[in-house]
Amino acid sequence: MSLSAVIATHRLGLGPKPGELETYTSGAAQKLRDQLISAGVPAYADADQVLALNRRAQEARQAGDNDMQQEIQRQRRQLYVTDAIARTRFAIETDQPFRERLVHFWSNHFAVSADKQETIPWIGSFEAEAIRPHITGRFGDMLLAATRHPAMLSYLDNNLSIGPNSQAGRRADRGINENLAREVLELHSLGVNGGYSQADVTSLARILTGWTLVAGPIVERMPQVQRDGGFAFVPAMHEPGDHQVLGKVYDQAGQAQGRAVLADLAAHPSTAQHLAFKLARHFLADQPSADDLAFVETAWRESDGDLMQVYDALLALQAKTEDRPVKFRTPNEWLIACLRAMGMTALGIRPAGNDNPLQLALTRLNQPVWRPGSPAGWGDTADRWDSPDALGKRVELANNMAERMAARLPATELLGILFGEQVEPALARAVTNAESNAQALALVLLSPQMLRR
Amino acid sequence: MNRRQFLAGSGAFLSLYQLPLHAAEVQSQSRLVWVLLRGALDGLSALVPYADPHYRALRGGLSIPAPGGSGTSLKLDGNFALHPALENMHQLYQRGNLIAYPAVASPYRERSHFDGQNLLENGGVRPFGHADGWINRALQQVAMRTGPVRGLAVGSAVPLSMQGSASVEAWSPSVLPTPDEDLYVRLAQLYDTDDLLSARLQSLQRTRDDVMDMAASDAAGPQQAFRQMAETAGRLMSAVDGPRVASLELGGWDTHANQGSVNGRLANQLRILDQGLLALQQGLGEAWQHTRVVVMTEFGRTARANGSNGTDHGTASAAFVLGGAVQSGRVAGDWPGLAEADLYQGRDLRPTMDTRQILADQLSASFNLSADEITGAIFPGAA
Repeated sequence: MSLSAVIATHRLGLGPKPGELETYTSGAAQKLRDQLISAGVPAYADADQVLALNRRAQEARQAGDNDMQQEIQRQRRQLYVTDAIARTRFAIETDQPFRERLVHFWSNHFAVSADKQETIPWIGSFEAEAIRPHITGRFGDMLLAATRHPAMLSYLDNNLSIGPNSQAGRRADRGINENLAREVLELHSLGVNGGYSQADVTSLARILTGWTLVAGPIVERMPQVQRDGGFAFVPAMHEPGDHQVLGKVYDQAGQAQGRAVLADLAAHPSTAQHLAFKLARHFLADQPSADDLAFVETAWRESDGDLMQVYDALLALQAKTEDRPVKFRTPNEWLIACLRAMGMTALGIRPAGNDNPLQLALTRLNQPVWRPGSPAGWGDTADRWDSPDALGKRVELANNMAERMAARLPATELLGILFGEQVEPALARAVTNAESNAQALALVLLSPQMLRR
Repeated sequence: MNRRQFLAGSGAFLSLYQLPLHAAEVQSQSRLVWVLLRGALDGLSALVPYADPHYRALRGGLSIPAPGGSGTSLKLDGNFALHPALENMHQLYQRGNLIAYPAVASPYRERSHFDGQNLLENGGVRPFGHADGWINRALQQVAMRTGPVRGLAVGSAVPLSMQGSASVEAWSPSVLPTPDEDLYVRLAQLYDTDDLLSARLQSLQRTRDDVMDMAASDAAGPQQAFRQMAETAGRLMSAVDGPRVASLELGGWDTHANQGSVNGRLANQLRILDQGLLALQQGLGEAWQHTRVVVMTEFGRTARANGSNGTDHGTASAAFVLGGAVQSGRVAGDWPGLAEADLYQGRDLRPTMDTRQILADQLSASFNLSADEITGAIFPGAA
């Protein structure tokens, strides 16, 4: 059995744009693979922009200029909103949807949430610099890039973590904050049952002291600061000495110590198991079979976390799955799929107009971009998203989009864009019998085949 | 008018055009509102032909009782009455501000909602025969004759009837309007074999029902949504320099099952319409005196009840013209009858009047457009 165009575009891509389905007539798996090779990127704020804004905030603070501080705060928030909208727009427009789906997956795996003032302006830059460059490379490189990015360091408080025996720790009587270290082990690498102990958490936290972001006078006054974009390693905050994690002693100096631990965590069998499970859950089923899990895990271990080879394993499994939707779409996935098929006019967005309706719609559906509210990221199973109230929200939004498109897009055309010849008879009947084109469009958007992928 | 007179006159489609017009003054004040009922209104329940000897037999449990006391239809004349839910429209009739047309259809003779609505909105003789709509073309003609007037589409999108080269405005409430009840009914059918989605939808419906019960008059249900849109449209149009032409629409008329009679699904829908029209009048205030409202649907429903206490897609339906500027209370147009031989294709009410004739008459009365302007540019192929 080979991969069908409907599965390739809906389950692995982001839902077909007009004409997209037809491009998958043969070799769907190879076409998906080709989408991974190179890619354009959304125009997010880069680290320099955020740093410039942070510098101005610092000056305003020193000058006691409250108005200016508020204005800069507004601008920092605006960076997030602009980037969040750019991200959704990019997903709606991209011709490399499989790649973009992987970006969304990894960005959610290394979730940073726009809840903290310090973190908010960095989130677009996080996805652009820590996630996107690495999704077709090795997992270890992404783990390192994500861990040392200012968004992660601030979101998980590592900027507040100071080695008690470091120069700064002895002077200020400050200590470690183990937030980042715990989540690296629990969420990002080994998994909660991955075989680490509290001692490993504390030890990793000591090792990661000094990993912080360029912000404020504390960092700048410190001696020998090693800077790299928004990242700073501050030797004066780093806990000196050897530390042991998972039974292995790390005796490196400075940043090299943390890098060595992260490299070992990336290569750990528990990490292979944890990530194989998350990927299989995302692409195959809420409860993937033991055989499928073993297949993906083996690909991970044998390639030492070479993600392209892991994706190949997932694609090979796709060809064996049933030719029907198996995953409940998250609100984000559903809205993007609706808009890829219908165009952004469905939300009332004009070519030169403002894009805020994208973010407003996702907020209404309870999944605003980059704001999962937890480092665990958004849930990836049906029960997280299929509540009656959530369905009600989708009905209202679908009804609204359908009314807006009623005079532009016949529902039968939408069916063709989405499913080609593979239209479920019950859906075809519902469309034929609908009392208006608007109602027919709404029924397509709310059909079991569209609520799932 | 009887059938013979109508047939004789149907070639002269523009019968009322040469009415005397108090030109400039009338134009500057006139407002025209088009209310499209999407889904095919059952005209035989809205405008009840209670004196037709075949009505009760054809309709069975769906028939509306002849006028006479509470829970019966509201009498218009010796032959016709309004559904009891249409109280406000009945009052308008008694004041001489409502004309009821019992057997109206567009030139469309198939039974697809989409094609039927498309034709009604494009104003031609074929579905998808025009890329723009009749209201937009009318706005262009009015602009050429008397200068531009504003057009307003009430709803989140500009419907086909209003699309075209004349620029129009659109307004809808800022919160998402509640979908028609009918959408939920159809979703339940679509989810029939999907256990998860069926269960979620049922639960959602229970909550929605509870909320509606708790605040029956204040809930943001479809009734309030239409009333709000109608009232706001009226207020916007009441301004001296406000829109002169507006379109409103209301779905939920596709009553294939459990249509009800004096009460029930269709009765609720008619009440929403009736209260919406009252809200429109209230919003317009003084300007109501210069307003004409046309209410129509894409086609009617079968003369007989079907096997699920509803009606299927038919041909002719009822239409209404009302407003302070309508100086007449009457039932207009020929009645084709409900005897077996009189039914269109043995199943539907036979049309005796073209929707475009009603629209053309009201356009002419409102904006002093000539017969040539109307048949040439707005309803091509009509004459």
